Amino acid sequence: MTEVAGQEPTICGRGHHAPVGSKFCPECGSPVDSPAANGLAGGARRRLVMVGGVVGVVETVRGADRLPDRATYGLETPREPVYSVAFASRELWGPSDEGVWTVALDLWESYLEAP
Amino acid sequence: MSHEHHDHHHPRPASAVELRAQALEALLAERGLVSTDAVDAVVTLYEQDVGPQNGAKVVARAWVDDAYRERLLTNANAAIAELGFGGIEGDNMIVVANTAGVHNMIVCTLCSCYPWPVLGLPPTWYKSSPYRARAVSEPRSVLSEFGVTLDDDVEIRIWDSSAEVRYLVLPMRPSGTEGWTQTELEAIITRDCMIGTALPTARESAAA
Repeated sequence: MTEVAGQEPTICGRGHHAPVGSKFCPECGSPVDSPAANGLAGGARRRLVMVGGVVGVVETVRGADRLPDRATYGLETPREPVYSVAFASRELWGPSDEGVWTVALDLWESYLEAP
Repeated sequence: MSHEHHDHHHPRPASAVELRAQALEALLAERGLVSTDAVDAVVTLYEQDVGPQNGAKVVARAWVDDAYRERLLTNANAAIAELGFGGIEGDNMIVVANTAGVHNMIVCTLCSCYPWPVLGLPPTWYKSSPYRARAVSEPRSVLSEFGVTLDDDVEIRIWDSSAEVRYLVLPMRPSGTEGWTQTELEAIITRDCMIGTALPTARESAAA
């Protein structure tokens, strides 16, 4: 993954080009892959991910934890990264009279798909 | 029907949920899995000693002490522990700060995950299906029902709590509170301000 902080055109979760610095794609409203580090380990860029077909942005690494789906049943499960992933409301619910808001979920690596 | 009788003579009938909880407690005690004393101790602790007054102390300190605010936002658990709070249902805390451009609100869409050490037990509405569904799908409508109207350009960020991560909103200090003591500030920081469904105002202090 190349890192050219703040210079390259940004790309939204649906592949549209968006102006540098935009948070949401002006064309489709989905989150934009931003080079801003936002606390990601090692200055990594924000990473676009998909969960259940919805594109979101990894904003922060929360840490590492056992997958609750298994751990809760006492099953052996290794720790895996947990991310705070932000989803734009339009990605989740479509356009709304209320404008755009963000829903942030803490998600385990196993839940994420590549967009 | 009787007119003079009071509740303590004729308590209202227990709800289905209360009966179920009583039955569960009786079964767990009978099988030696929990003691009634332990259940009573937890209930007493969270009814009397642990509640939003703890969170208000955290927020008030952050309002008057920039270094503390910084620690709170970078390592909430450690900063909250500095004031003597912590424990179950709050092992992994994240504090999110409101700004002029961002308003934060917390929810648990799955059930009722809530930061017990700083807010106590969750209110009934927080556990209700409509709040859990609507907080993420129409937050401005929900906020307006709570009496909160935000400018259109304020970004609303909804944080979905989980068994692992619990959130607390750090509201903005309202104008008109310059020179107030920490104790005076604590009095205007309500539970809902720290869930994100209310905004603190200097006005409320008049009644405090």
